Amino acid sequence: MEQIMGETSPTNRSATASDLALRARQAGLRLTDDEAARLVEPYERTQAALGRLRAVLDPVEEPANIFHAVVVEGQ
Amino acid sequence: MSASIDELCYLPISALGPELHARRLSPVELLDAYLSRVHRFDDRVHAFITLTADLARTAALAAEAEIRSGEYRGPLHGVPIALKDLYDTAGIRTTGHSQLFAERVPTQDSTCTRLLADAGTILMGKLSMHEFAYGPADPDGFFPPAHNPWDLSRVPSGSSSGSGAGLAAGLFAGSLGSDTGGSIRGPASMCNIVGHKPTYGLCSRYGVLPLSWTLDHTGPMARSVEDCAILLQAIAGYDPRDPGSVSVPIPDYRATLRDGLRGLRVGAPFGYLEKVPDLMTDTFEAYRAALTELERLGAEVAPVEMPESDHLEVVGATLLQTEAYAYHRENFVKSPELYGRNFYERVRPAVLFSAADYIDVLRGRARIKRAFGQLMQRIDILALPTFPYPARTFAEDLNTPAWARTSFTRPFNITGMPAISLPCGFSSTNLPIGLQLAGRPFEDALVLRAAYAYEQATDWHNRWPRLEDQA
Repeated sequence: MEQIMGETSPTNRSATASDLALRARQAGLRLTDDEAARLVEPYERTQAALGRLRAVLDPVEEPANIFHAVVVEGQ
Repeated sequence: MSASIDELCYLPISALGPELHARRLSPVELLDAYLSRVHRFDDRVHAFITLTADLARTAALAAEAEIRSGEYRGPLHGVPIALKDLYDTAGIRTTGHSQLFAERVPTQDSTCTRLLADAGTILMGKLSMHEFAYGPADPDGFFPPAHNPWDLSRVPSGSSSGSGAGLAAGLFAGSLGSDTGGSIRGPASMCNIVGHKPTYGLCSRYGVLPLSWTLDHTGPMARSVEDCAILLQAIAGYDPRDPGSVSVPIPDYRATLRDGLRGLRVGAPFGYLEKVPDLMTDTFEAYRAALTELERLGAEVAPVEMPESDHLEVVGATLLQTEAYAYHRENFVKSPELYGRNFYERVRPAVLFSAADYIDVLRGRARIKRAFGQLMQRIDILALPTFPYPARTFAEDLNTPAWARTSFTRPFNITGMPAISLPCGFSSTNLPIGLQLAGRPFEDALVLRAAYAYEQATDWHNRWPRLEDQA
């Protein structure tokens, strides 16, 4: 799991079906190896997109409020 | 009234209200007209999960008596409506279109249910949707999916599929949908009706099954912009039971509908659209023609950039999936067999997101909101096609992965901005195309006004599907 989610080395982020299946099962979910294999590509695609987002985020950018009170920023 | 049953069933609420008020039309007569179409067509459209004809007749008789005795409640009094099956209705099952909740009967109404009842509407029943308001239509789901009345082999889009299909089929006068990534505006676009996603916080979500708390919106769907304004008027307002609700003055949404477009600044992100791989030519041409019409009506149309377009999808999708997973996690572990395969398989991968991922998309959301806020200082309305393409077949819809679908609706769930979809043309295959207009937060009246001006200058909204001709 650490290898998948490691933040320092992109090479460590390579997901494998067995890694994903293990993580799902640890959370109590059923996930066969075949199902996990189909998740690898979308998982890596999403992680890549998250990586691109992180690359542009200002370090001091704070999370939007959970109920995002558009009125405050919109007016 | 001398209109035929079918003509009556396609009259807008704005025309029905005065007839009901003047007692030239009875709520019972109107209800019976809709029920006759439900009985003729809903075995093919499948808009309804639960039809409450007997309760509706009782309510229609009561409305008739009230109107006769001078206790007229307003433009929705005696008007038959139906609700997406995630609005809690006391004593009437509310399933979320899922086997998991197939027998779930709430003891209380959602705030919106109650407000529409207070306004005098007649509830005809609960409507088909995509399971728990997410994923594509599921032909193998526990309840049958709604079909698009323009071509019954195609999806009506979703997730408020029954609302869109039922309105297009003339089965009721108005509806409420919910919109987490485009679920009001998508069916509006693909069924040739109007759907308004209000500003986040304007309409209560209390008693509405959640998909993603920070993206969910409740809102009206109807056959005209004015009808959406009438429905919005009934449900807008602060609700202390909804933690996202915002206390703001509620204007008269119909009062400014006819103020026109002169001087309004409309932004069109041409550069962004030209790079969208799944944007169909018919859709882009209809969009360009709509902008020309807006210009002719007095708006100043100018090209703008689409803010943060590289990050909209990952922020919106990650927020939605992680929040949906949080809501369903316990039942995913205990009773996965009670979920449809499509919903379960689309939400389950959210188990792989980390807390840091979620925090980072919330940070991304702050960046996106700021960028859209800056853009909206320069324009009044941002115009986009609602969907890149018209209605697909069930198989096409099912087999298109989420990452291959460009969403023009999701940005306004992320930012909370009001956005409406209204008819703006037809494809070469006679399928409806929608125009989306978005505005600044809590300027819903301006969005409705711009949409109304376009609608009244065109006749797309007056076209209805011919169900009689479809087997």
